[in-house]
Amino acid sequence: MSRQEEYNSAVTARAHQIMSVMAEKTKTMWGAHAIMDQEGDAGRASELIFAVLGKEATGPFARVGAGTFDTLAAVTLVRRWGDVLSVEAVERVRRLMTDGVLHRGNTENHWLMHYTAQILALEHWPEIGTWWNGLSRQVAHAEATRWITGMIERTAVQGHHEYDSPQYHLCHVLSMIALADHAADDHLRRQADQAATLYIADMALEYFKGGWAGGHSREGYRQNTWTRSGSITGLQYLYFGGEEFDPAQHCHDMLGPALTACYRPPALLADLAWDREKPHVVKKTKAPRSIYRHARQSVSPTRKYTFMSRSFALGSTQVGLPGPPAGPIDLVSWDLTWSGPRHAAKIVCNHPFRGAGRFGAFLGSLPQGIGRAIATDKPYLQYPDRLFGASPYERMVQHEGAILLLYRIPEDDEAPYVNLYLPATVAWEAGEEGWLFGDGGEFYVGLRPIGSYHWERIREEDLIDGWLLRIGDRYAGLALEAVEASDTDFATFQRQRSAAALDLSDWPGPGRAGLVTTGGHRLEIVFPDAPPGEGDESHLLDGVAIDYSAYPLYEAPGVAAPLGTGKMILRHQGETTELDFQIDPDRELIPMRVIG
Amino acid sequence: MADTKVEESSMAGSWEGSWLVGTALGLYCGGSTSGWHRAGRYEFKVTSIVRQGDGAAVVGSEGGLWKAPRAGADWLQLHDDVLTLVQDVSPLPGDPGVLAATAYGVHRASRDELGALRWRSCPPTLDSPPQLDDCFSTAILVDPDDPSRWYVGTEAGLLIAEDEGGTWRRTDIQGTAVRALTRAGGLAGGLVWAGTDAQGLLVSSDGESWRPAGEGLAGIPIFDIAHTSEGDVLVGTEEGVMVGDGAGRWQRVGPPIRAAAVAAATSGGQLWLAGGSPGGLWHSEDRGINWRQAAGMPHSVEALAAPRPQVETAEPDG
Repeated sequence: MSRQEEYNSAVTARAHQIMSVMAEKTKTMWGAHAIMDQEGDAGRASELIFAVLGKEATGPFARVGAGTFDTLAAVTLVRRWGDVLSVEAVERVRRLMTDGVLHRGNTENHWLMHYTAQILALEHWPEIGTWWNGLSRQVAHAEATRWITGMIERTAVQGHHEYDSPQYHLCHVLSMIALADHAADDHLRRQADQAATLYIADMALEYFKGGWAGGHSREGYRQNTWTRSGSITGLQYLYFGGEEFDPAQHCHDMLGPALTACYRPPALLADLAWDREKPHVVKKTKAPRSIYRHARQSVSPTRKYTFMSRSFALGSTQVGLPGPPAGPIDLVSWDLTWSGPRHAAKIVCNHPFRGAGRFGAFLGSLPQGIGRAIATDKPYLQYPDRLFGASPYERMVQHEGAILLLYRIPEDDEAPYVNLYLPATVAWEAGEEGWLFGDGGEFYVGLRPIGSYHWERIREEDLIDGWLLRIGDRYAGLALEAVEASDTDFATFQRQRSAAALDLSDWPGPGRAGLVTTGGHRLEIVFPDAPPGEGDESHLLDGVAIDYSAYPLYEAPGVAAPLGTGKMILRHQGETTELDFQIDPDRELIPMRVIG
Repeated sequence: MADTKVEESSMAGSWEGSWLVGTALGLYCGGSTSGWHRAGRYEFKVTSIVRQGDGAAVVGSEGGLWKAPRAGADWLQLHDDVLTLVQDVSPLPGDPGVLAATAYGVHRASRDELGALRWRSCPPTLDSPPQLDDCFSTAILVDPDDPSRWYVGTEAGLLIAEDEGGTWRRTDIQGTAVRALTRAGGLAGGLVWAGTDAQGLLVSSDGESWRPAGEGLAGIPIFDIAHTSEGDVLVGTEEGVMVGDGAGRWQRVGPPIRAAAVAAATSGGQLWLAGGSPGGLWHSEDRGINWRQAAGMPHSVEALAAPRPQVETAEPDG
């Protein structure tokens, strides 16, 4: 049996393991895949379709609306199990897809799910000439295909827009898997298959013992203090295995279509995900975030740098945002993560930037009312102790296990402070020169808040539970370094870390600060003579400016993926996977039109 | 005091004699006496409405652009995979009959080999490189006398495009968002009116040189402008509805809402409507003296379209 065959069998076994739990309790169309696979109970699965979509009303105004999650769930269920579901249930889905009111949404994952469901429905019911939106079958199919293939090409050339989201990455993977399994067009099927592999490679490169290390475009409320966050953890278990099955963590219903799909990723991705023996750096380029007003310059590409060590991972992001007020609401720019229970193994800090203009930067409503309007539905986006969401005043530079973060918050900012989260499970020790030290068992961490701070307790249901250090300084910052315990001892690390320079002699003053690592490297940030959040600062490593523009699409041991080519090679222990999206360099990419 | 009950309409047929109300939860139709009805189950957030000659309405929404033939009828999708976040629409001769202002700039459509509408951006070509705010288009007005000339309000000011977007230039209105554009007919005399965030209401006879229209609106964000058949000008502002003649001092009338939309009966009546975002739908039947809120309407009203004037049909020749 080949490595790939072994791997495929293992994935199938884990899929059954997940579905055996999911089938018992699910009340969703996603989970109905598990019901069908495990129990073959088409009656129960069919009932779920009606339970979720509702009975269709009658009369001239009875067209039932549906969002993108429901349409993808319903159509993948019909495409996979349509021949055994009840005729009435399949008809209910057909009516929804052909005569409903379908919302396209406003984010990249929304549009992807919407158009994926369209294609799968259009091809499943070819006898329907005119569709829910009044368009002919040919026109609707062309539109959906054009957008999906166009976005795959964009991703292959310049990186994913809605990148590395523990919350929404699953939507992207599921859509590609569904198209790889079911789409009629050979080219689309091939491109979707490769895109699914690309997205799973994204997960693998920064996978850290059940979690996803480093920066994320979007992460849920409080979840960036969790070691395993978002629905992606189930997909990681399915494809990477390697840890004990935890139904609470691995049985998210949305996994359903992936569990019964034919698609299998290359086995080496699982090997890459678990090979943390040799510490290494992962670099990624991601597409510019979607900001379309209230900015004086265009958005630059996103650059990620994640240090994958044996027992911890430290990741950071050059977000490429064009200054205030651009600050995506659920962006997570950096974190230190290690293996541990939910609230016990993350360190992260954030300036809880609250200006209403940040909503207007990527939403279309009147700027005068958008702050209150968004806060009405999602008040946590403006909580004073928020730990996620981009700040235009945050800058960071990283080298391996060391990072220096600096903030320059304007005087009139609504939140002139920085929140630093520390797990309460670590016994923190106050060291010399203002350093705090933690013994993580397999690794040690030292951190030095910049600015005066005080300790607060932060706890909210099971959402967060730890320490909140409120750094009450407009020129706040943080220096942090983590090292493997196998490389030194705690006392030596404390001594070396305290002795190595944190140079704040020009901070805030001329706008320059530096950090020397215990390994002797010097990190520096030099701000321009410009208002906070404006102008490009310099990042230096050992006196040399870091050229983030030189980052390829992916850089990691065994990975070759230059920007702009649509080609990617992954190698691991003699195995190779090659992706080639066959990009025509002369063809213009489709325009980006969604929040991503 | 709230009045008129809102219900889902079972009315099907032409809505040329109805008011159209674009809300955060779809399109409504009706009138102050007949009541307000949701025009079908399309719960898209409506940002703009244009009536067309065939009696249909073209509806701009956050999610795209739709043609609503009549009350109760199925809508036809006019957008494609490029057009979204429609902020405003203006009538443009030809197919599909509108030019769209979006968060990604001005877009116009043509048909492809399948007969599908394909939208393309008309990026402003300016003497200095356009910035993001130059492209975020909030209001659009196609010159009815010269449809190749477009006035485009953006987050950064007012642009004029000539030759159907072939050439662009900035106007004197810069450094402020322009969220409302109208060209008044009748008694107001063919002037172009521009409502801004920071410079109040401005008026121009040629689109090039602008002057404040009346007194008292400087610094008050303006979202919509309407002209009554009696010569009044209604202005939807951050502080509510203002009424004036464009020369003297503006008077605030009605509730203190963020009046995102205003409209007045184009003939045969004194009904004025104001849409709050938030604040719901309000109407006055006595030129702004007394106002009532329509009960049960969505809290956010973004666009209003008055009934078409009733035109007496001449006997056909021959």
